[in-house]
Amino acid sequence: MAGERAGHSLQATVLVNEAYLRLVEGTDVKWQDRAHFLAVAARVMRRILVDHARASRAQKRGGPITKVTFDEALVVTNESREDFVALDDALKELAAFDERKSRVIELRFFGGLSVEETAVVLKVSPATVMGDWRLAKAWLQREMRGAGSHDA
Amino acid sequence: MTPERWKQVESLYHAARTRPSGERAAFLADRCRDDESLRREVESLLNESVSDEGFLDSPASAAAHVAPAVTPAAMSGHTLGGYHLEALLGAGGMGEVYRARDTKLGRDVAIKVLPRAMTGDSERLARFEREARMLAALNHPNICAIYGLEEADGLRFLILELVDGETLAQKLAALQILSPQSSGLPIDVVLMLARQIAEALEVAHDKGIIHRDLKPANITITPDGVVKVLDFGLAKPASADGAGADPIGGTQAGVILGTAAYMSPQQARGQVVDKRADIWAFGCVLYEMLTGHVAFAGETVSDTIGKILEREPDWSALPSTTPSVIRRLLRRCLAKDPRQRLRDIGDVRLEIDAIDEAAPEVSDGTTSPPAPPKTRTAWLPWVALAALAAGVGVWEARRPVTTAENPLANAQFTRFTDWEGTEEGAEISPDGKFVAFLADREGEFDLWLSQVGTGRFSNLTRNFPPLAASGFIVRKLGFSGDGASIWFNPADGKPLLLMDLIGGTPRAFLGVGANIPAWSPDNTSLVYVYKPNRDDPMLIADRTGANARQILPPGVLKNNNPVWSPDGQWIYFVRGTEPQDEMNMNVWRLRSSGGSPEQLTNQHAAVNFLAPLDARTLLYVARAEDWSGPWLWALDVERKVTRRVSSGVDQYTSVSASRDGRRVVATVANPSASLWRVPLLDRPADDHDAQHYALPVPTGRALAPRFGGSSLFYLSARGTGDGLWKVQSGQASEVRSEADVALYEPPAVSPDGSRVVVVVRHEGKRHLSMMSADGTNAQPFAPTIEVEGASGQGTADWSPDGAWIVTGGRDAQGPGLFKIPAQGGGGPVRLVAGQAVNPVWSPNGKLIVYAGRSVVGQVAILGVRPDDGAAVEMPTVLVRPGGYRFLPNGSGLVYLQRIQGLDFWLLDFVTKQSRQLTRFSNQGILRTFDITPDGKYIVFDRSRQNSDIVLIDLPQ
Repeated sequence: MAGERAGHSLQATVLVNEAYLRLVEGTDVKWQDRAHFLAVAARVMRRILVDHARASRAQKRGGPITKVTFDEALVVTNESREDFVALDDALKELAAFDERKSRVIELRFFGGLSVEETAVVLKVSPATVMGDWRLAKAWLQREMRGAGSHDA
Repeated sequence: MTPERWKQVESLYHAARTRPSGERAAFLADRCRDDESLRREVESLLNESVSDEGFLDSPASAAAHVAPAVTPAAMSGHTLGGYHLEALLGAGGMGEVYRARDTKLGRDVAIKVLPRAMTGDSERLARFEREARMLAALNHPNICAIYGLEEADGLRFLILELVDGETLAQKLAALQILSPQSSGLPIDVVLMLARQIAEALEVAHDKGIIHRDLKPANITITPDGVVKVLDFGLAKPASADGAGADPIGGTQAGVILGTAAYMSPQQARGQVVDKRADIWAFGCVLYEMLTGHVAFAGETVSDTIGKILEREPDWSALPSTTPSVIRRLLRRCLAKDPRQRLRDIGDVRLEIDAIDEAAPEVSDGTTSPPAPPKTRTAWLPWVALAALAAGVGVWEARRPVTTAENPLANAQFTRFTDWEGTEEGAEISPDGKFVAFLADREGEFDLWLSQVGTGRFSNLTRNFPPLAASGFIVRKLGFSGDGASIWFNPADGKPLLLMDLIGGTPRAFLGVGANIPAWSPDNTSLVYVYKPNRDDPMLIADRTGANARQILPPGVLKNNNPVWSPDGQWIYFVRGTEPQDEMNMNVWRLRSSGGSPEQLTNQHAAVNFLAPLDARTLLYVARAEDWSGPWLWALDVERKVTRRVSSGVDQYTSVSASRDGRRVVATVANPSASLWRVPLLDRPADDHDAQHYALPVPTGRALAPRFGGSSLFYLSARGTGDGLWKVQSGQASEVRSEADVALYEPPAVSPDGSRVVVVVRHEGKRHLSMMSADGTNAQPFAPTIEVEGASGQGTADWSPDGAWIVTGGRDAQGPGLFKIPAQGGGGPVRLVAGQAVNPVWSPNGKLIVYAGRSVVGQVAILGVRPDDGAAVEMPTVLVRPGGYRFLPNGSGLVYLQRIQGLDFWLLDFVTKQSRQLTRFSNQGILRTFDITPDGKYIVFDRSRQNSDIVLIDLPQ
């Protein structure tokens, strides 16, 4: 949808807090304040999704997370549990030598923040965010494939 | 990989990418002449094909985007009849739905384009038209309205009300993924939604209209919690006399499973469908809201149908908090024999209302009758506000969920403080007679003390430096075992202070790194957490703090908030990972004589404030797994079972119990906004200099102050709508209340205070409206201009002679800054072409300061001469969008700027220098401000959690 904001990707986890923001500021929340708020939510989202993935991985293998019993307009995340766990592991590795890039991925992927919102949260320019995003994606992709280098 | 090496990799990576791909290898070979492994590393990263459609590119969102899995429609951007289709919202068996603009009436609508297959069948069409007409006659806030049925370009399409919000299906799907073990929505939310859905069905049934396809995907919930039921009676355009005409399988992709799951046995068998099919579907939806699972689900369509016909839903999945009335209702709705099924959906509404009335009352004071509900609406987040809007009875604010083992059932709740501002961390003395807490009533956070029953409060730290308030929920003060002193934490890195109740100088206690001490019931020892580095061993010492010994060694998990069991045998504490916003804390216990700790809860949420009630029960504050809350919970220590004991309306941010466990004090929070004032001084003012700006009528939400003439105007919320208020000569009156139109921007008041221009929002657009200062004679003003500018900021201003209004926005010719005669006599004059917003007019009339569009964060101010539109050069100053006002004497401009924090600055026009006016550290969202007419104070609004302290007396 044209111009659809990350706001629509807020999940039940932050529904109540989003409602708080709306109540206090009206429907047009200053997007910078919203960005900071979403940054916290991104960390929470990551934890929830990863913990869930790790826990269920212990029980079953493979398959989609839910059966499709809802309306076809629903897009349920198709990512398998394995990917979330691998991503989380890789992100931790990345954070060891480049915290900012790990954060960029966390904010954009788990929090759904736009480039501008990420720039506000991390206090860097949008161009820096784009550069980080690109390199981090390349590195993560390579690592998750298992084709990482052994560069110490 | 080290950070240093990574920096090399990064800079080479980006540099190589700027070169044409053919040259990259050579470039790298050159730069990495001595370091082959570096070259290989960079190359392997360059070789990763990074697309924009990979795994990482769509956010890990479990909620449904309405954008469907089908290819985007070809129709976005087209015009159909008098409607401009803007974006595809969704697609279903009945066609595609677009957001569109009605160009004739200038409003946004939803347009459902019917499949071409239908347009050829005249009989279907005629029947469809008849139904559309019946539906157009349904006029109810919970039913998505139909505006019309039109035809253009060979297509038939419906014009519907555009509803903002997620569907119930989306909300339930999100919940199921994130917390699959827990049940569905909270019971009070379920009842609020169910009542609205039932009411929509009731209205339709009364008019003989049957929905036939009620399901969570057809139920939208607006951000204000209003239910809108969509797609009434349209799902099966074929008559209801035989499933053969519209096979379950459907010819449209993806309709299959969803529709079948909500079919009644009669529908499944192809029998006649009457209103009882809707009642069945309602039962399915109610079940799903309560449990989070579909009532009848199968791998295939026939499996699902089989379950509908043969099996009962899993009744044990219903949460224990489900009232028995609702359970009975569910069984009756889902009775397979239609003669046993609930006959009238109106009964649902009556039953839900009956639950509400049966609950216990809350008193607002020990002697006086309950106070009028003036502040009640300020307490309620969107759930209950929406219920108010829909006219539903609202759960009394502090009423806990009453179940068999709720320790607070039959407790008496009394509001202990009713102050504006924030209270935090309320603690009760061991004998239950004194309450201590932090409050910012006098501008900064201080430690306050009150004796229960006296209604008197004293500020114990008035003459001390301000205490730090934190956003995290953590215990920061408490009573000593003998109740004669209070300990508190003045700031991180400093030792705790112990202060006697009768006054005197606080003295350092326990040394740096010690925190949250708790005295044993027999007053011989105390336990505390010791955190010199990042480890948290728990230590026991004698009651003065001497002879400390370690009872729990440091480890990976952090320990916090220890308390003693009433018999002194156990220490309960919180254990988990830090910081507080991580979701991994639980309640544990440890023998006070030492040993291995034992986990008691499996909550994995932000847990704190343990308050033992008796040998078996512990109260505490925690967020739920879905991060909602924080709420009040009870733990049965023996059975290791937890239960939430507060209703889903109030947030609890602290709880503390007297030693006998019969009296509990808690801090309850809700968001609000209030006005403050700070003087303009020669030095930067700090938090201490700011004071609450008292209004004659206290309100939970006061925003957007504006002075004009001898009055102060401000916006205030009254529950369902916003109101414009005016204070004059110490009296407050409501000037205007807009129930269905939102007021967010501060009003523009004429210099003599006689007229007011407000920004009125309707369906996403903003326009000006002018009225007298008492709210009469409201007229649209400059209707050709659509106002733009930073949301919630001043968007229009008056000339000092009251003859003109300046505003930024756009008209039919494009964006600009416009001045408009205030009283007839001509149309808008464009002063600046191009984007120009949030103007302010200088007191001498010769300058208008405004801003261009803001990109990120802050904007530069621009200037223009009002007479001829000539640009006036302004010093380069970055400001918060819309955050600037002239001093009344015109000698300078006060503006908001964020460097480290958000503060007020003054641009002096004479010296062209800026100086800082405030140095605030206080938290809260500062939105708008104005200067008092005497130029001495800045009055601003600040939104925060408002909190109050509640006393809970349990039966003996």
